[in-house]
This record gives sequence, structure tokens and C-alpha cells, in this order.
Amino acid sequence: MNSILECRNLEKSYNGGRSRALKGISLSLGKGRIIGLLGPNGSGKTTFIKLINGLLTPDGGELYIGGYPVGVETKHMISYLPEVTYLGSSMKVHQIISYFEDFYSDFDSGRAYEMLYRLNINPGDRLKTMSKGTREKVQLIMVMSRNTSLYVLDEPIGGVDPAARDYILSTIVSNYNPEATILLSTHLIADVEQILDDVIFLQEGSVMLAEPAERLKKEKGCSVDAVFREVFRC
Amino acid sequence: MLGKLLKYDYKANIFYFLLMYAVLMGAAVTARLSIAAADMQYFSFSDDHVLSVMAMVGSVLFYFLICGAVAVLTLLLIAMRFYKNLMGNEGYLTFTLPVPKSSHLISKMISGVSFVLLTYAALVLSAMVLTVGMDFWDSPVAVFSWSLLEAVRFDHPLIASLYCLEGLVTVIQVVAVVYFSICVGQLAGKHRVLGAIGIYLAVNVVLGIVAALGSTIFINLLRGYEGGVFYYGITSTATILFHGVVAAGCLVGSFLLMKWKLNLE
Repeated sequence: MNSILECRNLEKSYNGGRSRALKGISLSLGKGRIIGLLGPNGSGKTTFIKLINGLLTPDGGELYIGGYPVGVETKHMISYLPEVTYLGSSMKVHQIISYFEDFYSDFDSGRAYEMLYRLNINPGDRLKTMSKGTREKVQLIMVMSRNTSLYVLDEPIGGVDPAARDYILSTIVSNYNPEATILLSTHLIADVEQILDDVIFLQEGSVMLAEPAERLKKEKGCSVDAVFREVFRC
Repeated sequence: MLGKLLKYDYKANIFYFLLMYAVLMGAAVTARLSIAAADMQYFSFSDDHVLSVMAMVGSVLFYFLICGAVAVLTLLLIAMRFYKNLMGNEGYLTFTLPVPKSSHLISKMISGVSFVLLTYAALVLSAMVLTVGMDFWDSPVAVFSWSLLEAVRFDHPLIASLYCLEGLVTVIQVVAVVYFSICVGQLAGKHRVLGAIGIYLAVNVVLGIVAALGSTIFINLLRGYEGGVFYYGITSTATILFHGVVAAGCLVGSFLLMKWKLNLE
């Protein structure tokens, strides 16, 4: 099996079916690829990510990760970074590391401490005493310190300064398992496109485009960002 | 994994509960000392005696106020832990742990029920501190209370066991209703907290009405058996079943809502 994630006719609606967030999408994510999940607000990116992580239940279709339907087995395989701060704000960083060690057998605390040290983040500090950017870095460090098959990052560089963005992207690239897949959702395409292997464009719950980034750039003769602006022009 | 979930559920709240119990014990000790001071001055007929009686009354009232606050805060703390850890932003971490969703509910139930029981124990202990050294057990209040307990056959071992089980099942039901209300409330989007409070009040009103109707029917059915072991055994068993069914319904409802209608916004 060369794909880590497969979905067929995946559907999800809200408000009793009045709002269709995903309209029967079918996708296959290859192993060892960095994939950009791109689309305007409301296109269904976060809904798709939540379905992958078992935070939502689909209304129709199938979704398999590593050959398993979404459940406890797939949660072992996925390292997820949501858009929000999901760590307890009163926890100290070393307590968060212990938490991840407790629940994830693939968590590498040595790697986590090393990344914290490089960023001058004190493991004895509480999350609530940190700036937003530092909190996001701590979250990213926790996620990237796991040795999993699929990393799902929802807007990992939104809301941080350009220098922090560069650091976050380099951390993503340098710390993940090359046989693993990274699914990265973002609006800041110009910042991430240099690391993307594949791109998926979502619009209003449907897949507009899903192909290798290099092939797209050659076909269109411009950057992925320029293609995005063209496809999703208001 | 359940053990690990429990570890973090206890760790999250234990500090606040210990602080509450410390304040409770402090209030009990203060009230007891003020009673002792008032007693010592009983025959002095001085102005100090009036002051010491006022201090005693004030500190005893304060103690009972603290008891009420501890009871309310206990439910509030376990509700807040459930909400923050499962329905707030922390839910993005909690629900992506490689743990069945049922384990989250079981962990919260065990920790919630144990904190409520711990609070009961703390209240009883504080009452004992308040009455230490007093001839409380020979007082009219204690004698009257014991005669009431004898009237409902608490002196019978089987009935006493049923009453204890009834207390435990009631605690489980109270906690289950809180969690169910939060699970339903999260469907209300931006108004999830208000929704949870509304559901909690509504459920308790309905339960109160059902319990009152059920009691009336039951009492009529058991006419002629009043006062006996059979009467109190049957009524206690019926109460246990009622609370048990409500608790089970709330837990199943909570689980299904977490499984199919989770709404982490």
C-alpha cells in the first residue's frame, strides 16, 4: 500500500444537512509526501482534517488511514496540530512532555527537549506565561517529536511573525520521518510552497485539483500561490 | 490508558479540592474554638460573654456557609474539568489521544464521583471537628436525629446498606446529569455554557416531577406496609433503580453525543 490515507465519496454536512462542508471527496495521500491542503475560508479544509482525526463523524463515504477506519488504531498513527492552543495553559512544558510520553509510545522526549533548548524555551515555564508564537512553537515541538506515519498540521504558521514561520517550516522539514506524510493546511501558500511535494485545492467542499506541485508549476508556468490566486479569484 | 486518564483528571483538580477542604476545616476549627470560648464565659455575665456569643454565632454561621459553598464548588469544579478537557480547546488533544471515547467518560465519572464522595467525607469530618468534646450525641438535636433514622429503619443492617447504596447511586446520577447537560449544551454552538445550564435545570425539574409522581404512586401501592422493613426496603430499592436508570440514560446519551455530535468550535 503506497498511500497512508484514502477516502472515497467523503461527505459531511452541518445544520441538519443545510450546509454541506464536504461533497463526496475522494483522495489518496501518498506515503513520504508533504502535501499542501489549500483553499479559501469555508472550503472544507478543517472539516476534512477533523474527520481524519476522529473529531467529526462523516455523513457518508469511507475514510481509511493506514488501512484502518478512523479509531483508536489510527490515532496512534497521526500526530495532529490543530489551529487552536490545545494544551492546558496552566501546565508547565515538562509536564506537557510527560503527558505526551504517557499516551504516545512513539514520542521522543529527547528530541523535544533538544528543540526546546535550541529555542531557549524553559521547560519549567507555564504555557500561559508564554507569547502566542512561543506557545505555537511548543505545540509544534510536541507534534514533531512523535515518530508517526501521518502528521496533520492545521494552519501551523498562521498568526506568527515571518521569522517564526521560517523556523516552524524548517522544524517541520528537518524533524519529520521521511517515510511519513505531512498534510499541511494553510492560507500562506507563498511561504510553504517551496516545501510542498503535492497540492490539493479545495473549494466549497469539493476537490478542484490534486497533483504534484512541480507538475502544476510547469503546467501553469507560475508559482502555486499564483495558481491559487487565479483559481480562487473573488 | 484509563489509569493515565484518571491520573491527569485527579491532578487537574486535586489542588483546588484540598484548598477547599483546608478552608472548611479551618472554618470548623474556628467555630469550635468560638463555641468553647463562649462556653467558658457562660457564667461570667460580663460584656465579653455577649461578644463571645456573637462571635460564636457568626463563626458557626460562617461554617455552614462554607459547607454550602464547598458542596456547590465541588459540582462546579468537576463540571469545569469535564467542559474544559473535553468540550473546550483541550478537546482537540483529549479526543485525539489513542484512547476509546468511552474511556474519557469513564475516567471523568470515576474522578467526578470520587471527588463528590471525598467532599461528603470532608463535610462529615468537619462536623465531627465542630462537635468534638461536646456532649453533642446526648443533645436533643442528636437524639431527635437518631430517632428519625430509627423511624426509617436505618438501624436495620439491610436497610442501612440499601440507604448507603442509594446514596452512592444518587451521587453517580448527579454527576452523570452534569456531564449529560454539558454534552447536550455543546450542541448550542456559541451558547454552549448557557445551553448546558438550561439543560441541567430542565433535567432536574423533570426528574423532580417524575420522582414526586413516582413516590405518590408507590406510597399508595404500599399502603398498609408503612414503617416496616419491607416498606423501606422496597422504597429504597425503587429509588436506587430510578437513579440508576437516570444515570445510565445520561451516560449512554453523553457517549452517543460525544461519538456522533462532537462540536469542538
